[in-house]
Amino acid sequence: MSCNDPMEQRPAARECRSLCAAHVICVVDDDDEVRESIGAFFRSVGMSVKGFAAAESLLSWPELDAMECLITDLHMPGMSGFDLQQQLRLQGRSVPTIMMSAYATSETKREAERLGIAFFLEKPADPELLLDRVESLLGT
Amino acid sequence: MHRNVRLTAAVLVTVAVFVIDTFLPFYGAVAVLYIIPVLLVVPLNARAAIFTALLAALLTVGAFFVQHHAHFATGAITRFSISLTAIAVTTILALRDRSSRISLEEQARILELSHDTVIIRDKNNVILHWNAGAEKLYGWSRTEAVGRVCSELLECSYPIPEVDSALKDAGEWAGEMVRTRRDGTRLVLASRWLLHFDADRKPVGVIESSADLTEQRRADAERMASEQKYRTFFETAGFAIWEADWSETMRMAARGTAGSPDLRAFLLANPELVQAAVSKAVIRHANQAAADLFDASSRADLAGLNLCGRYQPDCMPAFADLLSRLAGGEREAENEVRLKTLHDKVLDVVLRVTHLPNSGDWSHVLVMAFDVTERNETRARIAQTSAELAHASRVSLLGQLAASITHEVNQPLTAIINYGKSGLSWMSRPEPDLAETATCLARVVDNGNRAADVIRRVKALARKTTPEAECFNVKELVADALGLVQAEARSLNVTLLTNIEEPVPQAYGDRVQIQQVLVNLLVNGLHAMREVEQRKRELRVDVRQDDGGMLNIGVHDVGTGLPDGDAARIFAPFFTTKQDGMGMGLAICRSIIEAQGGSIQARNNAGPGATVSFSVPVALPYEERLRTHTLI
Repeated sequence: MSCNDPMEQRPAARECRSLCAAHVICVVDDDDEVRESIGAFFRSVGMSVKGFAAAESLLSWPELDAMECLITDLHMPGMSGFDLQQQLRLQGRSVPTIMMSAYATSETKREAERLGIAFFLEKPADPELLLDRVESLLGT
Repeated sequence: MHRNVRLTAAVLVTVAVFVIDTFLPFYGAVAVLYIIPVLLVVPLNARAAIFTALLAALLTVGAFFVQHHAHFATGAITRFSISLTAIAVTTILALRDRSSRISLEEQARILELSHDTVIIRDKNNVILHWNAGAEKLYGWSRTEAVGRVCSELLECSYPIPEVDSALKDAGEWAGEMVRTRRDGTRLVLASRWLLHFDADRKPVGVIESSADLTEQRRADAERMASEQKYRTFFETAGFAIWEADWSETMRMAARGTAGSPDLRAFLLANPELVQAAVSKAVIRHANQAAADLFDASSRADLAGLNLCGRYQPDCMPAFADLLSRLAGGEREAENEVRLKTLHDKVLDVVLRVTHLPNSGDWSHVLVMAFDVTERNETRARIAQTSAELAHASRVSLLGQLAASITHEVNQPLTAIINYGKSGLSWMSRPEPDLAETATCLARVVDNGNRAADVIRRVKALARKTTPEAECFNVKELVADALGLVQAEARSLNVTLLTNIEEPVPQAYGDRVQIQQVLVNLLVNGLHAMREVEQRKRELRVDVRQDDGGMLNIGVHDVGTGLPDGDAARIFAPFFTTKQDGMGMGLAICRSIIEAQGGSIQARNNAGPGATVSFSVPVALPYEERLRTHTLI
């Protein structure tokens, strides 16, 4: 569990989305501001996420098995969002995934579909929409 | 007669006369014979002759007293007086004769010395005297010439009636004549003839002195031909030339030097003084091209004209520069000015002002004018077209970066929306958390700035500006260019590096266009590494000052490198290795760099990839830029 995340230390004052609060949601984006701002939004609604600056660091995360939902950027140095998805599938993991990209072409959308990506969001994505998608994926 | 023989004879005769006069009872004027030693000594020395005469007188007096004791017979006194008188008269005559003989010898020597020819002829035109000058000029030696009839020897040709009447009336004639040398060459001579008279004032011949005019005539003719030649150059030259009097102009300009060591700065600061000085320049004469340039109906219309009112007021700085350079000792100076013709047409003209040699003052100044109006218009049109082409190329370059630039802007926008909504969320809680809200707002501001920065870089490159040379910081330019391709590099998994050799001086040129070149090379470098999988993708910008003082900026990639032999061809228009490329990018880069005075070249690296590097001039002080600038 992401108990080492400082975001979790503070109690959520708002109506607690208790269902989600307990879930392990991972965000992979090489852009610090984007990643941290997503974390900040989720925290403001009483949820916590685990952030990673690269796909490689997510894959090497010891608690990877606990991941229930993945939000990842498509274009990143090193492994891309697609590479990550492929790797996860190779490892036999099937985690519901939301992919974000600032420059989505019909090709990338097709590829996302092929890889079984649940949602493809164009940046800048509305964080509330992102929240809705996460909630729907977590099957609440 | 030999000197010693004369002296010995003189002494012997003196002794003999004295002995006879004193001791033998002759009743005759024996002492008269003392004139013999006097005449013997005279040719040797005038003083010795006077001494001899005085000695003779003394001896005569001595002998008179010895013979007659105090009994002076009338006959003896008479003889005594006759002897003394004879000695005195003879001595005086001998001395006079001596002095006239010496002056004649002097004259003859002087005639020999003269470079001119001196010939003395008798009344039958037979040559009596022929000096060294005549030997040299005519080629006949004295022995060959003396005794010959002059007119036959030298085949003289001169106005005979005129000469005859002049000699008859005035006794002399001066004029030109033609004679023939021994080698057959005809000579033109300036000759002066003088009638030569005998003691009875009867003409006995002619003394003449002549000087050779042939060389002078030839030089005169040559000079005239040369003058004619240059006058023809002047008059028929295809560009405007006029000779002007700038003495008053330069005087007024130089007056500015008093109290101001830097005349140029002084004149630049006082355009009204420059205007006043220029208004004193007067055209002396001009050629037909000048008349055409000024729309004058004839060359004569320009003479005496002052052009000051025709020069546009904005060209006074150009005149300040011209005047200060000429006043500073430069023989030639040029600058571009703008003037109105007599029909009020405005022309751009390069004036080249030359201070004519051998004219101490400024009264003869040669001004050449080249009409560069058409050239300037063409240049302006080319510059505009190039600027438009460069801009189109920049826009196309930004198009290539559109994806990564969109990403670059979207990232901060995403963060702004997220933080904004987070803030709202914190605020809308039953107990709003102001501290959290403040944190969110601070991050909104940060990301807003970040987005604005991207937009600024894009705008700077997309800007449509007229090319303008300025001093700029190369390190900033490199940072901006890297900023623009940063997202593209990230998406292609390329690490951007810099290798900057300090210190980096300011560069001089069109910043926007030079940045465009760098961005273009960076994009090319990035795309050249698309296929590279087996090594770390790195793109490095090197900045250093080369030996020639130019700033060298190189873009070093580890991509696929240039196909063999393409190192030079890649800068040709329409050359491309890309599927979707137009092949204009590098051609435009080259024209941009060359227009700034730099150069661009490409080469394959020793290792993988290629390096494309270009140079830009280092910012020079204003003065030096002016010097290296040529007008025509």
